[in-house]
Amino acid sequence: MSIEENDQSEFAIEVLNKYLNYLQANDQESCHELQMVNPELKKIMTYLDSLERLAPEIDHSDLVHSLGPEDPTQILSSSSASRQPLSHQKIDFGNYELLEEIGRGGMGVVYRARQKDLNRIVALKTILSNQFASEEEVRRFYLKAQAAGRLQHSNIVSIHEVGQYLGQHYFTMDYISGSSLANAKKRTNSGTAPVDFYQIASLMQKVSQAVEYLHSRGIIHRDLKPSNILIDENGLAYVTDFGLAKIFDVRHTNLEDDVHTQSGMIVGTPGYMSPEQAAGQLADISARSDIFSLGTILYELMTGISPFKQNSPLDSLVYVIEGEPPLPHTLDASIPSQLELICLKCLEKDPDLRYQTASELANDLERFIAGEAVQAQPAGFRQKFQRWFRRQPALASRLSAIFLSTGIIQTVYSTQGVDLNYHLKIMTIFCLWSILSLFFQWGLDHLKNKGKVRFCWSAADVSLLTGLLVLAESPIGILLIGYPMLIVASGLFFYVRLVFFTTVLSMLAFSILIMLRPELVELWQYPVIYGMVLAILGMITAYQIFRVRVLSRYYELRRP
Amino acid sequence: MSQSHFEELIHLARSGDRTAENELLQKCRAYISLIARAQIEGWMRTKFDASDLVQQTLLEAHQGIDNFKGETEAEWLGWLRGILNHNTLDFARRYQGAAKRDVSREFSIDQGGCISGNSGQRQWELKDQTETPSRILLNREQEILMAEAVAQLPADYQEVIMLRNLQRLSFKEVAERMNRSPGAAQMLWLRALNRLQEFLESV
Repeated sequence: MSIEENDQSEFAIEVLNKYLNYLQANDQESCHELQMVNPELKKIMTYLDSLERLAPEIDHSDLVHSLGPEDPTQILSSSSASRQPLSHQKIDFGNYELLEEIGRGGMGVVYRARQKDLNRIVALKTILSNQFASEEEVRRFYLKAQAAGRLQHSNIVSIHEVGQYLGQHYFTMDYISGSSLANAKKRTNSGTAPVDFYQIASLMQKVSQAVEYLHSRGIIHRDLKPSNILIDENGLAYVTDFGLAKIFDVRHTNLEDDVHTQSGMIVGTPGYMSPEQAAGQLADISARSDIFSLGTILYELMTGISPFKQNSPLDSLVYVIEGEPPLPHTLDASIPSQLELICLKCLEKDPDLRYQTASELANDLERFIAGEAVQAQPAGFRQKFQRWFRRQPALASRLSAIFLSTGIIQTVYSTQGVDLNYHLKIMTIFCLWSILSLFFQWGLDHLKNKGKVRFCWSAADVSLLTGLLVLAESPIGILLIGYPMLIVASGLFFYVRLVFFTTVLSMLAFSILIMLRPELVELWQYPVIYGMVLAILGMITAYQIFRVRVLSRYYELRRP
Repeated sequence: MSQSHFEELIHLARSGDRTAENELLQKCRAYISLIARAQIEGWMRTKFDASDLVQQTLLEAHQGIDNFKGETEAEWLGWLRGILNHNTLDFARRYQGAAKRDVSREFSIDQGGCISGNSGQRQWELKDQTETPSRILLNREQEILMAEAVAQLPADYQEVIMLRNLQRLSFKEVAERMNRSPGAAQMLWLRALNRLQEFLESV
């Protein structure tokens, strides 16, 4: 656990310091109590124990010697003997007995626990006590438990009880002996056995039915992801963790709930959330947002890759909103096309184009399993073009621009009949540009060092544009718009350095151009102004990117 | 490092295997060094390079390994600690006796004379300290690992652990020693503990 946020750090320091004081004062009971109430710091507390054992016994030495080492009570009452970590012992927790820690979520620790009065095994989830600094967390915790408590479905983990013990809030739910889909997935992927797509479809069908049940009870899950789907020993799936479920029941849409949504917090997990969630369009979040998340899970189960996951949360969010993952069958040729169609329909950016209800999705999965034709249709030309544009925007924009330019030039040539030699030269450069673009796109998709590919691509763009401008017939003044365009376009990758690189390169290329085309310097002040404008444009673009990056970092820190 | 491996090393070292003995002593170097520093620095109230003391202790352990009659790692560490205690005691006597280089007087300039009064009468309390049964009962492996982990920390992290945990000073005193605000010292401490956790979990 790395503690970074200030409040959390202060809290951790306070508790740990208190613990160490008790430890040094030999007050074992208080130590034990602190360990229990702050399970998230327990590990560090055991380290404090062993550091304390290393410390020279200067302060206690008199006491120790007066008792004498032969004194049998020494062994029992001595400080260190009972300071052994309690990890393997059962911990009493009110009506429950905590048996072992089975997981940690965004808000708390989950234990396997025994309920004493009914003598049954349950999962007990606590909320980290330091999270309780904020009222909103308390409210979210109870909201979560309330939302889940009213549900009963064979594929949903039911909630039994909400409560508080020694200031520690908790709730209990069914104990599913198994693991989450996130872990199960890793295990199957590590093996070489081929993926059973029918089993995946059947699993997703069950999950869709459970989600349909949630929707029918007026609950949108909003945080569906592999780690929130549990698989028991018999392979049955259970949907859990309604942490972010927004209840759109009339009874609950009081003012307080609005505060929650108005705070504009992006809740959910980047990489699994829908575009409307990622864009913070809270009013647009509907049951169909969960369908999108189900699509990302299906995609990940089929290909083993999370479709929208990027290095930073901001990149993930941007990718969810604008990007398009590679088509599943390009990653694994054995993926059935029908299942791919179902997956892609879930992943439509426009909610109206997705399945409208989870049961529609479940039915289509059923059709796939039965070998019938699914309802999801292959994409039309327009949709295909749109997807390609989202998937490879850099390539698509360049090829479109090249296509348009060559089209115009070819028309002019055909109608007015310019010098063939000149025409061939220009067309060769455009051809080269297209081929290089395809090559760099391939590099972006397949090479490890994507950063370098982007820099090379920018450099190639600037050189080819300069080449064209050197060759083009005068007057070329208007065509100089190409440089500013390249600078702004390089900003689309969100790298400040790439923008600076492109700007500097453009300015260099422009000065070379001036030397080769004396007509541009007839009035010497114009090229100077042009160069300065290029520099300013580059700085503005870089500044915008910098601002977005700052917001991204802020968001990263604020993430629960 | 499993306990049985450790005890096997002890067994081999006792039967005259030089490589085993060497490995055994090297494994305990960080442990001895940490305790030596905690004792000396706690007593002198300033930073001190205890490597001579550690070297001396390891050397005496090597020379006297035939005298060691125990078998468990707890007995072994207890024995090492005994040698170390004698050495620190000797060192402390020599220091107190040397009027020219009186640490406490040197120190009184820095610390406003707060300890110069009693340091003359200050007894070296570690005299005759033997292993208490409670220490012997414990599994000592964790302590060796912990000492190694502490030795890997950056210097200021080591110092804050040394002062707060091993010398049991309050954060107010720790802050004074380190010339930092108490808040900064606490933050440093937390970071040090987090780093220790990272290190111990990666082992």
